[in-house]
Amino acid sequence: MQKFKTKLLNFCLPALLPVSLLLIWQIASQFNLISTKFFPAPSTIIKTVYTLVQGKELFKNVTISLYRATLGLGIGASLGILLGLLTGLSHRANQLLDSTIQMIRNIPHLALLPLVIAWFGVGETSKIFLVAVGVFFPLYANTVHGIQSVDPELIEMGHVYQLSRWQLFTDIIFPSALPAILVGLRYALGIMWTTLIVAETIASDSGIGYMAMNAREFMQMDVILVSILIYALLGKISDLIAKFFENEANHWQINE
Amino acid sequence: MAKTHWFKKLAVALFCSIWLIGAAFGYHYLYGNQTAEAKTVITIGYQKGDIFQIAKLDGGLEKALEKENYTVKWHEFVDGSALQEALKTGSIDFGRTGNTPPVIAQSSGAQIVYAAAGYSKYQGSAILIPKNSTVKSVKALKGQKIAVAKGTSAHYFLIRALKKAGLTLNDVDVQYLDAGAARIAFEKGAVAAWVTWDPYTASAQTDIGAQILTTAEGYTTDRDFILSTKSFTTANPDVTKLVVSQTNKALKRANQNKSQLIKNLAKALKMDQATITLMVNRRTYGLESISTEILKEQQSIADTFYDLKLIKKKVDVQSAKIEN
Amino acid sequence: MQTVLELKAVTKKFNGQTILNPIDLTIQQNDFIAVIGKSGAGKSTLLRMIAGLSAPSSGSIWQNQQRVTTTNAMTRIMFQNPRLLPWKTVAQNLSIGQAKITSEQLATTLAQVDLTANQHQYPLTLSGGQQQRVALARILLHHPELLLLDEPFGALDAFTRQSMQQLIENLWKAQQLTALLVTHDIEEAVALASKIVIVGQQQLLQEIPINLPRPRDRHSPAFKAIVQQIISQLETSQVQPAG
Repeated sequence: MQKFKTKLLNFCLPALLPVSLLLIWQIASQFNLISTKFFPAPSTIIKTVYTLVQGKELFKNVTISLYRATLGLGIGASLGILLGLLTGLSHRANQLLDSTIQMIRNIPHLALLPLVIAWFGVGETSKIFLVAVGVFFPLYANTVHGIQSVDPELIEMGHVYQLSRWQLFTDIIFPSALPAILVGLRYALGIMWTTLIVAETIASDSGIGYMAMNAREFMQMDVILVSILIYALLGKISDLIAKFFENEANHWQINE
Repeated sequence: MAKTHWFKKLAVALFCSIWLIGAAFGYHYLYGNQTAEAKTVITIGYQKGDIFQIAKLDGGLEKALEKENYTVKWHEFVDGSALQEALKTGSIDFGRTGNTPPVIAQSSGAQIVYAAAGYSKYQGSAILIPKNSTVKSVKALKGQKIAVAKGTSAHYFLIRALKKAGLTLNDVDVQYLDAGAARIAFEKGAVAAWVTWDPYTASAQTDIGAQILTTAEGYTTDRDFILSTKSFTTANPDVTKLVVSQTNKALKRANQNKSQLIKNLAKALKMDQATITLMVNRRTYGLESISTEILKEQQSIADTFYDLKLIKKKVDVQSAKIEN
Repeated sequence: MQTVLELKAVTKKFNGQTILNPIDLTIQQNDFIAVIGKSGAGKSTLLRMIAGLSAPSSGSIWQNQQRVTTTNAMTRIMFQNPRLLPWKTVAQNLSIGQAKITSEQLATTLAQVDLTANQHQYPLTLSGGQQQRVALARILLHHPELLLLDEPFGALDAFTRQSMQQLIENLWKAQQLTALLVTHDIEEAVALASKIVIVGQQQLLQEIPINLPRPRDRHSPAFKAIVQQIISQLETSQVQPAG
């Protein structure tokens, strides 16, 4: 019984604050204590979601955003991990590439937005490019760090046991670096969403960001809030998925 | 313990699959309707509720171009400023803006050409004041905050209106805001007036009871312009002619069946019929060729902006006329 | 008696500092050599050169008439840090390397170190002693000709240390291994070694054969006498170089 109570408490306590806020908000809207123009009631928002889902617009825009995010992530993450592995493993490659990459890394990638639009126009390329750039750097940096933090004693052991270069990589170096890479991935996921949001509000005619921008021009606060909620939801889901993979990869660590 | 772990694995697998399927749908929505043939693509830029959007909804333009083996791609822009940037970089082949953006574009060195002029729409462009405003004339706006989008027809309209009232831009507190930000500022009472065009004018009127201090009538002809680039029109004179004539046909059709137009626009803009009706009924749609008169007004816009140091280079609009 | 290892005038210099002056040493088959000396004397350096992990500054090391230049499959080394791969199970850790290990070999070796029950556990869930036993098992699976041990039990408690020492001795005897143990635990050296080598002042100071009968009784007067002898020889500076 005690265990059930603790479990219940663990579940309810974090939810207490947001739920109460929602209730206060709803009540305040109903009694017109706050302007429903700027703060539509939760019930209105739910209605809006329903309408949007009905209109298929929501599905279309969400999936388009998903596509852009996924493609950008795929490109940026693969490049980041590949180049990270390269510069981490090869001293020559490190000398050649690392300082340049670190220099570019210092530029806030969102500042590149006007440049990217001038280069690639207002189509999909600029958005996906920007997402890929944003995602690239955390994965590159974490991969390099992971590779460079491998216990040299383990590598020496690998040499003693005459592991081939490939075995050295797959048995020792990569598994050792994996936790760091996954942390980089989790961080990159957050950047993926924020980059997409910005890219979609500036030069787009589809996607969640566009939906929000569009709504803004006509003071459709409920649509704006729904867009924000969707971003929050997507962000949370991707974080949970990343955490899951992190835990899977770290299953050999002591978990008391 | 093993049971909950299994459940987690399933949930993650499920989420990942949904994610990927969703992304696939997104891809389909973006690229799905492209035909296998490598047709030449014509990209047209438009703004909310403008004549290109009407032509888009009408469908005639796309059909006619398809017959000549062209595919049309449409791009929406928040205002003429953003649109003329895209025109400059070649992201779009045609665009519709008000009377000011082409001047701005020319001044920055872009090889913009006027392909056609739209009929006046000054009934839908206005200086808006809040419902309870006590302002009675433009003169009364002295020293007040006025919201306007920079480099647009509304910007020019404001300058002209102020001039007639004996004021300059320096006599008021100009807030350069795009339509979205301006609407918010206007609703919150952060600005005393908002200079804008349809559909934003109509929306503010029906939604929040904004009043019209004055329309653009008498200050500017407030025409639309179909713009393109020198390189594109020189290389594609037939397509240019086709786009202009087909758009004009679509607009004439729209004039004849305004009730259908209202329905279509309301749906496309996701706005209520009252607003769209207001917007559509105070306008006659159509295109005409660029006359000397029209060029004269464009030149005066260019000179005004240059004199006020709003653009850096002097502009000769004659060079932007298409050699037909 | 077959010579397994020969060091000929081996020296080591590092950054201009001489760590070891010319050292000559011969190790026969089934010897158990314990190398003793104060910390920093160069014992581990010597071991690493024998293992092929570092090169002598001058002189040469010969293993079975072949010059030792790099690591080879016939020599295995056990460190204080068991150097297990934490993301692999015990069984997986034992299976690394080029050689194919059959499941029978695996089972036998696990039994030798008494880890059969733990073979699917991950290293971080094992005690220090258990981890060292995994390291030992990994070594044994490759049937090394030469077993090098670099203070392997230094991090373990006294109790575990003794059982590990016993385990090493048993395996050495059963498999006729040749072993070289670096340690600063004199009791451990006397308990295990057939010959003790004292290293100090950048050179090999003395070789002391230990002829006590096995299993060695740590409480016997002979045992204690030898321990005392070595301690005093380490403390005094009047130790004659080996000659």
